[in-house]
Amino acid sequence: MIPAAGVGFKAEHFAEALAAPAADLWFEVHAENYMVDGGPRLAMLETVRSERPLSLHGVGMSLAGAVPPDADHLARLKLLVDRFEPELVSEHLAWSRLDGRCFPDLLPVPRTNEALARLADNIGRVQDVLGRSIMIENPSHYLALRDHQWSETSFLAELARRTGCGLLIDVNNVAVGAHNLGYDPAAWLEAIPAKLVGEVHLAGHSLDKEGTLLIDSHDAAVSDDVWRLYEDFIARIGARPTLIERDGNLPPFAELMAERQRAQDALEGSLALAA
Amino acid sequence: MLLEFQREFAAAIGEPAEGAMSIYRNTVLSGCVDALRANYPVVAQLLGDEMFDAVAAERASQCPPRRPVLALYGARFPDWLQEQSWFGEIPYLSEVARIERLHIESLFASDEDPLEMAHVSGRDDWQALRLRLHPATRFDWLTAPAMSIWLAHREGSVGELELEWKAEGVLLTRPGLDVQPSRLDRAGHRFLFGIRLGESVGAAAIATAGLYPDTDIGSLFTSLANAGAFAASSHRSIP
Repeated sequence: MIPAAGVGFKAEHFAEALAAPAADLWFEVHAENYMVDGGPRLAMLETVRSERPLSLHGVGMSLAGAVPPDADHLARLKLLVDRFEPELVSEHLAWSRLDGRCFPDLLPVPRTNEALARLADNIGRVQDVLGRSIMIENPSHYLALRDHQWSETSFLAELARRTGCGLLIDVNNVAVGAHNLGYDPAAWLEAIPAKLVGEVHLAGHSLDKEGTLLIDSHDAAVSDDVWRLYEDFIARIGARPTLIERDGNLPPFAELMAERQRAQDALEGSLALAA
Repeated sequence: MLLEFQREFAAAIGEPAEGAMSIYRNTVLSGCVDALRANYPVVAQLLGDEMFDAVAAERASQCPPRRPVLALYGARFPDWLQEQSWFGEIPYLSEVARIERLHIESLFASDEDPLEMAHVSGRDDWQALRLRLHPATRFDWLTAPAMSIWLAHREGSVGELELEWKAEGVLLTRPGLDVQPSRLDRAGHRFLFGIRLGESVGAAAIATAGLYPDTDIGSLFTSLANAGAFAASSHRSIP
């Protein structure tokens, strides 16, 4: 896939998204929103897919769960992958399912050897069923968990080594986690091996009610500090498919495309340097 | 170790919390509440945002999602609403919710071509002809004028709503891309009920005509077929 900038697809923007003339524009959707049997939502995605490259981003596989992935959920993801043939498929380093209950969130996991083995096994199972490699996204952090045996960057790199998966680096999640837990986001990004990175996410964040913690809320424009981290990151690792994510306070499509253009400029700058 | 950590974490999410745990708790709860609001938009209008938030949060804590596909979350919300002690104040609420659930089911049902009248017109073996309902066809009979209330809220014409307190039928079909709501009368309900049970078209027609002798069965059948109520690949005769 050409390492261009894409936008999270929203049904509200369907007509404008299809009409957008931007070269190499691509779209990403949450896989779970399309895990239905039929109807207009899937038909809409068919139309989008016929015009533009597509990325399927899962939020419900619970890869960091203590058990193998749910067979029904994995089968539904497989159906989507087979039908839409996405250029990119990704999931999260998180858990969201326990004892028959699902949590609409990406919950944190202590980076232990046990968790590493479980995640590697679960990622392997998903990749085996899909018949392709996937990318794993770094989560945002709010809570300093005890019991970590690995740094996050080493843990991600080791997962990639064991399973052949790629990494989806969410720069906003890095900035949010760095603020909330007190680490250096630039050093974090510096520690990620360039060759493992297959996609980058950019999104906006907000402050919590007490004004102390940043929340990965996806309801605002990408912040300036995240843009700086991103531009430095791309300058180092080279151009990668980059997504502007927005889920809440959805702005007009043109505003998302303006943000997308800023990412596109950084990617083209990096490609020009490399040439 | 991992499993124990996750069970403790899940239990902590279930309790009111401060700081970081409150972020996880709020995200989980608002994810469920937002999903119920998306799936039951007219119920949310009828209750008002504040009341709906409270009702949906209570429901979500009692019956959290069992699958990560939130577009299908809340299947038993209508039944649960009916069991609530305050339900008597809005007696049509659970039936409006039932229509909204049928709408979700119709919206996301499998794609299939609907039966067209041309497929069956000119036949004379109605006693042998069996039809299958289209996968997106949903219908029900409601004791309150819930269909009128639901339609008025969808169309934004609540101000013009003049309710007559009577039972109503609902029919949802998907002849093209979108769900098409129609009112169903008692005869139409009896006819579709028969088809769903596996009666032949002729048997369902005779039973319907027996109960509702004023009904023009031919035009009833045509209107149901034109609405896309039947699946194309279903017409087969009993040998």
